[in-house]
Amino acid sequence: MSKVKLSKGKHSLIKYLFLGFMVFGIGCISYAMFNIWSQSGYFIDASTSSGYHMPNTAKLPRNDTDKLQSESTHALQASNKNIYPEHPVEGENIGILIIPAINRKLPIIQGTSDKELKKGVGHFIQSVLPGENDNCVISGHRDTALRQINNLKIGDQLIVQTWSGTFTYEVNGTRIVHEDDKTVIVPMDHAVLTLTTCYPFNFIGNASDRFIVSAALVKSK
Amino acid sequence: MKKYSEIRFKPLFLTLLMVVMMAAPITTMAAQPTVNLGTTSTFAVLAGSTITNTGTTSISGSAGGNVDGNVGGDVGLFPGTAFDGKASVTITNGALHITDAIAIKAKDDLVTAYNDAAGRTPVTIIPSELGGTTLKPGTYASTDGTFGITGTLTLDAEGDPNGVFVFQMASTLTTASASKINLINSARFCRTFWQVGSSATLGTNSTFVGHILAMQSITATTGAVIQGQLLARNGAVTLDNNTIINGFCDISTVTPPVVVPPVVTTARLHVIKHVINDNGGKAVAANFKLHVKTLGKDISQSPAPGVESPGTSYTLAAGTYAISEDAFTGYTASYSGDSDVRGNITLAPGDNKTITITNNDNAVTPPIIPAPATIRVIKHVINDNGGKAVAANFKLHVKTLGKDISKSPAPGVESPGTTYTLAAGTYTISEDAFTGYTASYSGDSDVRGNITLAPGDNKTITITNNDIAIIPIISDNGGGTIPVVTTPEVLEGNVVTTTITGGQLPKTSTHLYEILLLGTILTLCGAIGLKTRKRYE
Repeated sequence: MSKVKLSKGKHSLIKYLFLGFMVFGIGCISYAMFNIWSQSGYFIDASTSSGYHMPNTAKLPRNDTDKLQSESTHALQASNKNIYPEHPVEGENIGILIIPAINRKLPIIQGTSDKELKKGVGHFIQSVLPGENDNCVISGHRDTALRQINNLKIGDQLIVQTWSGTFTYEVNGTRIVHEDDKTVIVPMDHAVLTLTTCYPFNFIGNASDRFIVSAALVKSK
Repeated sequence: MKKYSEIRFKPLFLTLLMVVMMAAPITTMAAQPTVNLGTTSTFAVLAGSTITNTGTTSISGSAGGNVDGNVGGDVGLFPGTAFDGKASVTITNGALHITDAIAIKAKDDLVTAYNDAAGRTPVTIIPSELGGTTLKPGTYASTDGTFGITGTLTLDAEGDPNGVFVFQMASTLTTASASKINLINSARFCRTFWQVGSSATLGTNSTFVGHILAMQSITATTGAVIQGQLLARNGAVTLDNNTIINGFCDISTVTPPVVVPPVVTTARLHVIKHVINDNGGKAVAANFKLHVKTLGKDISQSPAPGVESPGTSYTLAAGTYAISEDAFTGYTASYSGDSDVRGNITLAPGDNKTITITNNDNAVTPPIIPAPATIRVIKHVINDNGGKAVAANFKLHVKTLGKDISKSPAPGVESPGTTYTLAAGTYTISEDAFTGYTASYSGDSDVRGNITLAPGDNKTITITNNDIAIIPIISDNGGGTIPVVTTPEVLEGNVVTTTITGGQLPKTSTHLYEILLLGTILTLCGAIGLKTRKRYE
């Protein structure tokens, strides 16, 4: 009698173990799929998304060494570049990046750490803000925000809306570089938007290359 | 019919033949039976107190054969336990019995055998010097109770393989260097017994035959070859480069046993470790681990702790060896003696070489303690626009590698400020946000508050906070942190950055694909498991 019971108990234990596997597995898949979908920005209306607001001029600048460096080195020559009344702080929403070719509307967040990249695409702090007369670098996750970025063709438009205006860039080239490449984030003498993401796109783990999209400013209003 | 009778007769004939063959030795059997060794027969060496071996000794018995029990190459010890130099004893067809049940039983049997041999009669009294004589089976003793062999003793069994030779000694048995015992006409070592009342000594390179049953100790000096047993009741058995053959006692042996004297292929190496502590060092020789290596590998006795003179002796096969020691901080090692300066030595057969490794303690240089540096942080508050803050309202941080030092943060102090004693390095001085004041650095730091201290430096930094004329909007206090270098321009806006050169590309991989893959694998595992679970039940 006890033998029968034991085998019955064993039976259900194994069954529940496998069921647990399946439930956990499906949970993982759902979590990943939901994140990919939600962070891809297909339907995000950045103008109403949390965190995006017109700058409050009274807001105090943050204690951030990186920014400090940029600020102190550029306070003097800022006269012809002052499109932005205030420099955004890390984690602040700068505006929206619209990529019509792959149907994206992505919030642009100041900063490129994990926290910011979860919310949209990140603006590389040590680069100029969109629309300014230099190299503006924006990064995004290869598997969420900037997924399918490889479908961009030369001439495709990248539209950046910020509180200082709408800037339209046209893709003029893509390339793949190593993650330690130092020729991507460099100053330019004209307004350039550089999108960076990881490459290869479907790599499991930390991809060691970067996919770079360069676009030149064609229109600003 | 003829065939039938042939079949019947063949086994009959064979049986008859066997009976005749068996009868023959019985009929020609000597008057005295052999000494019954009992379980002692499985031993080649049996001692009471200790067994000590020097050099390479080989002990061998015979496998399988059981003619009269002498098959063992066993080495036994009871009641003692110390077997020195065991490592260089090679035992073939035998085992080690150190104070175990087998050794205890063998010792009991040895007493029986000893008493048997000592009680044998009739005794023939012969001169104590056996060298140069030929003896027939029988029991022998000398008037002074000793026997010695100088030269060759011949034992003649007169064709009877069971001829028993018993030698009774009230005191000692001593064989001279290079002495020999010759067995002729079916005499056998296993029928030869030496009952020694005190101790037996076998001479250098001598060849000895028979079972020595000694009351006290047995010493086999260098190179002695023994065919038989060394059985000491109470004392020690001392061995030195010996060959002991015990075991199969071949009935057909009519010629003297061919005992090959050991060809010396070994050499002796003495490694002396000498430690000189003339600078306050405390190490002793045993703290150093010495290696004797050949072909890059430690020999079996290596590594071993160092030993001051006379050092550690190794018996090694001829060849090239490297003597080394594990690194030991604070000592300088040097080689002297027969090796080269790096401790390499070549040993030829028969060599007897010595190496001394001398370790001299190094003069101790006092450890360099980096001189501490001091940094004085002065907080100066200027209230020329109606501000009310004082120095203590500002919280100052001294950070290194992004972390506050132990005494940081601390409230600001007007001149003379706060003095920190720090190790040399780079530090960043900053302060928590404070609304309505600009901050600026002066003194030894850069404009962002970074300062590099060399050992012994005494530097001063002043952080001056000036109240701002128009406080823009009173926001919640401490809503953020003020950058320590805040210029009025920053507060008024119009900040533009320029893109830096050679920025590090951000990491833009998420783990979502990994999670997706993991989920898929788990789901598949679960699904397959559920489907095939019958197999596990």
